[in-house]
Amino acid sequence: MKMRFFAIAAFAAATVVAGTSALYAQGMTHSIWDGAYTNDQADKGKALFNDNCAKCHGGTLDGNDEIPALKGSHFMADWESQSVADLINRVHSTMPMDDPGKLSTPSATLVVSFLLQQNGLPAGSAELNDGSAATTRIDAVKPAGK
Amino acid sequence: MSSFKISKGLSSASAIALVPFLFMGQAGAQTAPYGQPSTAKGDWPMYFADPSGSRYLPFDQINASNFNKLEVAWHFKTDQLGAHPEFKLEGTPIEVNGTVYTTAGSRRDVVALDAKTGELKWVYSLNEGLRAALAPRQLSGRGVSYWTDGKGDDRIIYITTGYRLVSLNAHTGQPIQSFGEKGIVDLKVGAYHGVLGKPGEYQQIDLVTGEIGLHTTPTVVNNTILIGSSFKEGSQPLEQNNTKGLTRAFDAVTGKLIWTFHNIPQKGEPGYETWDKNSADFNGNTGTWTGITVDPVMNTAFLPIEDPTNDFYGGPRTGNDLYGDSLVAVDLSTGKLKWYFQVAHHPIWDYDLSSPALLIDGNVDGKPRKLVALPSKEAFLYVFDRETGKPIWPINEKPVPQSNVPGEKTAKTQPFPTRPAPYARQSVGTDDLIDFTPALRAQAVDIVKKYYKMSPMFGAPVVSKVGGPYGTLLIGNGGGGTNWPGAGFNPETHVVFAPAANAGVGAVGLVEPPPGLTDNKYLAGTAGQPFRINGGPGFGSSSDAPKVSVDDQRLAAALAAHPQVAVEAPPPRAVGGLPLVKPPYGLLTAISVDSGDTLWSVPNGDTPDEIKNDPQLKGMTIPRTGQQAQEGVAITKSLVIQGDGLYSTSNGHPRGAYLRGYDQKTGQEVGAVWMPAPQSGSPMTYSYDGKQYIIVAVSGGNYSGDYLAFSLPTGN
Repeated sequence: MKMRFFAIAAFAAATVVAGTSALYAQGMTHSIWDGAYTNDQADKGKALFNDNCAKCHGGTLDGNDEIPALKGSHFMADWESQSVADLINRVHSTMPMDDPGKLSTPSATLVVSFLLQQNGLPAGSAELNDGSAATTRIDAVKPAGK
Repeated sequence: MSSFKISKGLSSASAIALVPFLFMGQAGAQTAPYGQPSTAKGDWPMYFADPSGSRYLPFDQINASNFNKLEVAWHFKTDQLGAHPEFKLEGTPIEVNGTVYTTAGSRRDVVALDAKTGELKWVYSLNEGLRAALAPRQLSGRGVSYWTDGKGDDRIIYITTGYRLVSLNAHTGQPIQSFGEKGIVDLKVGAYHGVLGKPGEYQQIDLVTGEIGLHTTPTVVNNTILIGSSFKEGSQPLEQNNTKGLTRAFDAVTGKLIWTFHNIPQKGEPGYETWDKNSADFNGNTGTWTGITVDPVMNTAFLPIEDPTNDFYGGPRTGNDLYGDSLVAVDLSTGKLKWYFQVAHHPIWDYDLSSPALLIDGNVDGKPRKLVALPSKEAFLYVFDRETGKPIWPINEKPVPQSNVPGEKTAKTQPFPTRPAPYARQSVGTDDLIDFTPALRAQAVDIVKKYYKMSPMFGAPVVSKVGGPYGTLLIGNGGGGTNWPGAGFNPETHVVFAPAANAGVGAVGLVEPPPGLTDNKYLAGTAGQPFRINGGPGFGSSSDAPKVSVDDQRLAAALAAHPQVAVEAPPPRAVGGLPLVKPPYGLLTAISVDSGDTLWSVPNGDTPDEIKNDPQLKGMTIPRTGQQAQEGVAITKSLVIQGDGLYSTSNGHPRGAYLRGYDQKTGQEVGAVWMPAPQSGSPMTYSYDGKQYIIVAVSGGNYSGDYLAFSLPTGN
């Protein structure tokens, strides 16, 4: 019993250290429900999305049976408790699938701003950037008190 | 350690065998009557365990009493394979004689791992350049196959992203020089499409840009390699006259082609006349994209065939369109047709056959019967006599709704099995809608009334209209029933264990695409929204994808000439963030093929977080809902093993997913162990050196592909 729990904990720890998420997992002091992006960023992100992402994920972000939707409960469950920087990094390094790396980190940040908007998260006055993304947590459900 | 390059004979490819490790395996793995290893001594030598498709291992070291004690014995993270990590790892590894073999990574490399420790023994990597980048079926696919001559010539066989058949030395990973061209057979040679205006003439497809590929592993039985064919996702084809699906048999020793079965009959072949106006010659797709099962004694192979070109509109191919959406039995030696059964006449519901046909020796009405049981997206288990193709229980042709789409001509009737009972949702009616509260039900009824068309099973797609109906509510086209992971069965008890999704409602509407884009009058789409091509699974995700695909260029040109903007917000697909239909969202069902009875049916996993945490449902006690997922299974003497397809968070456990063991007799969950990410490939199990293991591929969200191997703690 003890060994099994230890194995899981060690595994989880190993995952955190080895995976891309580890770089950003520490000290997330904000939530996506705090107003993590600006409307201007979302608008710019929409244009980038239409050019690069809609061809697979759909213009309405619904995906299909083999390509994930980018809005809704499944998407939020996939990214729950990860940082916004994790999502930006994933978009930047592996998307679009036919030309990964095409979207620079600043461009990926705009696309992610659009995704947050499409998932009903509130816009704010401060822009999403490298620093804020690393400390902003993706919460599928609005945390109490927000 | 040595490596070598294949530089001649392949114009656009070079092969590098990395880290070959000279491994002297034990002589003579247990062989089945047909000459290949079997599961009897604990090996899992093919994708679905054995040629009957059972996914069954007759072992029980891991059982209800200890499933919860399982721990990760080793794991193989796939990040370093391919030019960027893969986040959709779908392989089921095989294990023979102490070595695990599988595909992994965005270049679909082949790896050999020590079965006890997961140590990497060799890697084979074939760089196919542009040909792979353009391939319709990307990423690492579903795994590899095994062949042996029983005397030490042991081989690993797989199909590359660019649709080449490769045969490797199982001990070194080096291509078998005497097979094909130095280990490689170009499967695109022999793939063809019609010639417009010339019925009966066929043309070889371009070897680089021609559309054909495959995820599924080849089936190797006796000395024959059986290979199907697959294409891009079919709801938005840019050409009606696409590559034609075909199924072929190759010699396992030499790689020579033995026979070809034309999934779309050629002029003069039976079935050609079921496509009106010679349209068999000007339509494509209709591949065999899921697994082929074989009865070696009956010398018969079973081909589950998919949709013809354009999943949802068949105007250019009126008629029943054989052998689209049909199970076809062919002679293993000659490829000649023995019998067939079409599950959807004139297919327009994307009811392509997604699961291998299960070959079960049953006992019906007190008499031994050789059966074929076909799980499906329709959530029907179609059961036939394996020899004759006659349904064991009546399958009745019944009238169905007709299409009103211009140019379309639906079949008047469709087949409905009378037994066994459907094992998941087949349509969406008012009673299927969300009903946690009367208010939510009322909202759902309102949404459906305003935006969509409701229909019984086999309801036809509609032309999408601004103001509604935007589409027909269908289930089973993508998000219902059993999909590519298929089902499994216990050959001793004759019980099928079928996973099914139960909540993947699609609203299928047709739109006229921008002029100049395609010769198709209608493609799937939503009125009022900019037209988008949906590229399909893994499309363009290979390690060398070009910057803009051919389709993108054409779309860009068509759109530039006719710009499109959204005229309104898209129609809603959910009810306040909750699924449109009521739970259960996914099921695991046990069906006896001896009696046709449903023995049990349980939700497949925990209630998703968004249901548990939704403020609209605060305070309500909701029975376990299962998950909208179609995860595959592995079957042991007493358990069904299946992992969750979604992330969830539970008290006391970090975010992740669970691998679950279910009692075969009752469906009771007997154990669950945590995984860092959802199951993305179907599990397998093997026993080696006195220890049983379960391997499952996990990936999703931020977690890149990882093969996890579980076993019981030592000294337990």
